Amino acid sequence: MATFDESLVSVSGRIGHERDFTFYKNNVDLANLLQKELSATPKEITIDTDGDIEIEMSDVGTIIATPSAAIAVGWLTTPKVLSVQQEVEKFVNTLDRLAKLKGSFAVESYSIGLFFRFRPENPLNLLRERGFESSLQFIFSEKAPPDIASLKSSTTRSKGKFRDTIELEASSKDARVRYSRSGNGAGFDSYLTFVVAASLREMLEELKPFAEILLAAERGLRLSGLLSEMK
Amino acid sequence: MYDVLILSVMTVGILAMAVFSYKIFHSRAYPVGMVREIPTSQHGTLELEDVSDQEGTTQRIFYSDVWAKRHNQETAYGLFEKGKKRKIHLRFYGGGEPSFPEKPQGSPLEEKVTEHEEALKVYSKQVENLEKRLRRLEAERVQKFQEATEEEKPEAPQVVH
Repeated sequence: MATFDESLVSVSGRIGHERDFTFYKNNVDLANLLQKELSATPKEITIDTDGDIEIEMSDVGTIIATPSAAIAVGWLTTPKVLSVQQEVEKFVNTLDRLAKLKGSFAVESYSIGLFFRFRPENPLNLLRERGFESSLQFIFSEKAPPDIASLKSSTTRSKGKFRDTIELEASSKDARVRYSRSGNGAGFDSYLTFVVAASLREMLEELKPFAEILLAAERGLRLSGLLSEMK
Repeated sequence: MYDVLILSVMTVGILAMAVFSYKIFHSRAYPVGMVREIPTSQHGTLELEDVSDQEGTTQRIFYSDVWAKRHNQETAYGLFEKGKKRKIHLRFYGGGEPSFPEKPQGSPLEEKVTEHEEALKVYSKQVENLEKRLRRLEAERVQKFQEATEEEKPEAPQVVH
């Protein structure tokens, strides 16, 4: 059974820059350039209906080029791998390279995010027991509805040079947690400097207690599933 | 000789002005105004009412303010009889059902502001769509991986009693 360090996490990153007003005119040329210059084996490169370029990469997820951002989303890895600097640098360098290939535009913002998906037996009840019940009672004046279909919460905070957003979404099937950290482009020399300062390890440590509760509930579900199959 | 020529031209001009002024002030018929030609047009109607004041000489014409502004303040007159409503045909923009713009055409600056507002709306929508797409991509990747991993797991050993 997976521990937190071995659990699946999706990493996303973004470099926001001043708008390239010629992007949609030159997107085909840029797509060809990206296909040539980036990883030797991009699986698929497309230009969507909005004119944005999307490249399916085998090692860092999907990278997307828009007029004002270079984005990488869906790098599937584990918290254990994220503690290795070289692995993180590979992801960072790919995104950095994408931003540079787009042209010299002043960087406005950096961000990095973590996404977890947990599947305990009853995610909504679990979250209600762990604190959301009191919120529902507060809203509904002690008459909290017995059944709810979904639950969403979003929290933002400032932490030094960073702005954090923590989002939780739960339904009857799963519970999803997103933790993203962003910073002003002018405050960092490069994306790598930003990511090092943002400290993925610290972000993971903050999420660990909550994630372990959900992972334990997942393990419990799987164990009872196995036991019922053995009978 | 030139003096005679100039004098005669002036006389003709003054007489023409006098006659024309008389015709305008004393006639009920007005020339129909010019409406700009437009490649696609739709005939429509505009009702005009002749309202005379007590003195019997003033005539007011009511027409759509929006229409008037749309055609840069050009006014159109139609033939009508005093005290009665008459319908006249005018041409204006657009195909299908005639429709007036919600806002009258303003100055170039106002048009620029409107264009900018529209562009901003389009941009905000694009940003919103991008965010939704990124979330969906992320969730789908994780879900696919988790489901694929589950399918690969070996089956639980069968216990034989």
